[in-house]
Amino acid sequence: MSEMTFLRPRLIGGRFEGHSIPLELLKNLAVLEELIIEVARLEFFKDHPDRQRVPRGFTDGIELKLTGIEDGSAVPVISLFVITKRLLFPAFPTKTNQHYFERARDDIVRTIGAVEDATIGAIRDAEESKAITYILTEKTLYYFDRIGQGLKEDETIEFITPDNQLSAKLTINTRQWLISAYSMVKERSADISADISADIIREIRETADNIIRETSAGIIGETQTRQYIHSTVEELTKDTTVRGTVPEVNQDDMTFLIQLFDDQQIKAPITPQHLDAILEAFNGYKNNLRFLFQGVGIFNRSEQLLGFDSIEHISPLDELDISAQIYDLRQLKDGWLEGQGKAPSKEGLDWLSQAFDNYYSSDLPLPYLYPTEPGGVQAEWSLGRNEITLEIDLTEHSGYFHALQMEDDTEETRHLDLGSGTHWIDLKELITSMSENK
Amino acid sequence: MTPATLLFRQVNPAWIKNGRITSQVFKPTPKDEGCLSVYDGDRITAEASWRHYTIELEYQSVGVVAVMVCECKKHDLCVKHDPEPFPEHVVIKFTDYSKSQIEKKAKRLKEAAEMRGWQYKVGE
Repeated sequence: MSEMTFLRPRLIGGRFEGHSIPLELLKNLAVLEELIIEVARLEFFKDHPDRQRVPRGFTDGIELKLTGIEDGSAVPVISLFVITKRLLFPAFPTKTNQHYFERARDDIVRTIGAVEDATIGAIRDAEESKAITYILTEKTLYYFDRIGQGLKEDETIEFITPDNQLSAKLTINTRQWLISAYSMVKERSADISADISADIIREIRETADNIIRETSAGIIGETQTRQYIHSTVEELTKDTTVRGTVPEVNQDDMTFLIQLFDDQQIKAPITPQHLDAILEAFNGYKNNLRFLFQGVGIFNRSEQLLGFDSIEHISPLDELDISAQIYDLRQLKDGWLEGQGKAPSKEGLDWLSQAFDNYYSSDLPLPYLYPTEPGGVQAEWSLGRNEITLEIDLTEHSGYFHALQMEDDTEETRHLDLGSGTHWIDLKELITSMSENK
Repeated sequence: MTPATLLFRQVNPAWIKNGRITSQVFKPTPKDEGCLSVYDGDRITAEASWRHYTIELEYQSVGVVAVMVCECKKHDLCVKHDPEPFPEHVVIKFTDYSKSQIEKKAKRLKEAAEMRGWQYKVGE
């Protein structure tokens, strides 16, 4: 058996420092093998357009394995193990299945590179533009979609071939562009050729230019940009976390419904390891027992969640979960307090939800959230003998902090500018200190 | 009223979360102009005060908590009969205090009410 280094995808981002790779991303990388096999088949058919099938045993004797993790953020080394170099046609000794695997690898890197370049208006060569039209099919797109599924905003997978001749970066953005590019290719799939591939690349580039210009000019926002990008895409999957209840379980087809806070119901598959948790959620539905669901969500072109492709984690929601509390606050109507209480504004609650997400560490004790009469929110913590309140003005993005030590009557007050991350750090320090000195 | 008279305060459904009430229950809101409305426990029961509040006044309440007149006095809060809205109406006056002093007194009254427990609660 011979072994050769096949690919060194370099993982860049905070999570990969210290040469570690989260398991969820390894799972996504495992899809790479399926993608390579699929593209190797395409390459074979390119050489043999008259054949209906690849030769029997096309993938026999070839395995891709993770053989190590090198320095440099984290670099998983994927090696190709060749037990026998299968000669597909003895008359052409260079055309082994290993040959098609290597061509597939190069095509994949070229395709990602072409889309990456198209978004910045710089196509490297004709090979690159050909790759994008040839490689992007419904099936390969499915794999491309999954490879980058676990990537976060600031993370990149850089694909480099062992000879360093080809490289390309896959990010959340490139992944979305791959899907857009696929739609354009699909529209012209009746006559894919090198001639029109240049047109497609130009079209992708023009679309990218428009989006960049309109986003910079403030004509469209980030969310709209994403919708624009997806305007020609049927479905997209990505890591998703939702909160909700379980009104229905169907053990015949092994699915269940999740009712989201906005009452939308989505379907998800039941996996045996989660059956107990799903039944617990179902039994608690009448008591509004809320759970957290994490997995791979399926979205339509408007980024609306349609359902779950798979569920990876289910847990009961913390009774003080901020999103759940803010959802409750959204239900208030004007006049809620003796006919005069003003309901907190949607914009204000959106801001508060985002601010807690961005600035309030998950290791800090969660506050109770209550509405205030003028349309604000009061956060409260009872930390031992410390009674703490933070009266939040949702319009001014400011807060009045008051803490009372019930034993010795000492008080601490502070006006906080909650529009600034600095004052959230001050809040964190205050809460931390009072948690430790209960 | 005597120092031991209970002063009943209604709890809005939005002001209780997982069984914990907010200190706002004992803090006058802008509409109160510094005077917190309560019921005189010498003149009405907790349950009757809840019925009056939810049926007569058509406001929302999940139950009734209470502080004593002496607990208000302990925190330098003046308690005064104000029968104009209805005969059992009493106000606890916070008018002369700063924002932080009001916060502190509200937390103290809430603590006393919590130690006493619910005087009436819907469904119990």
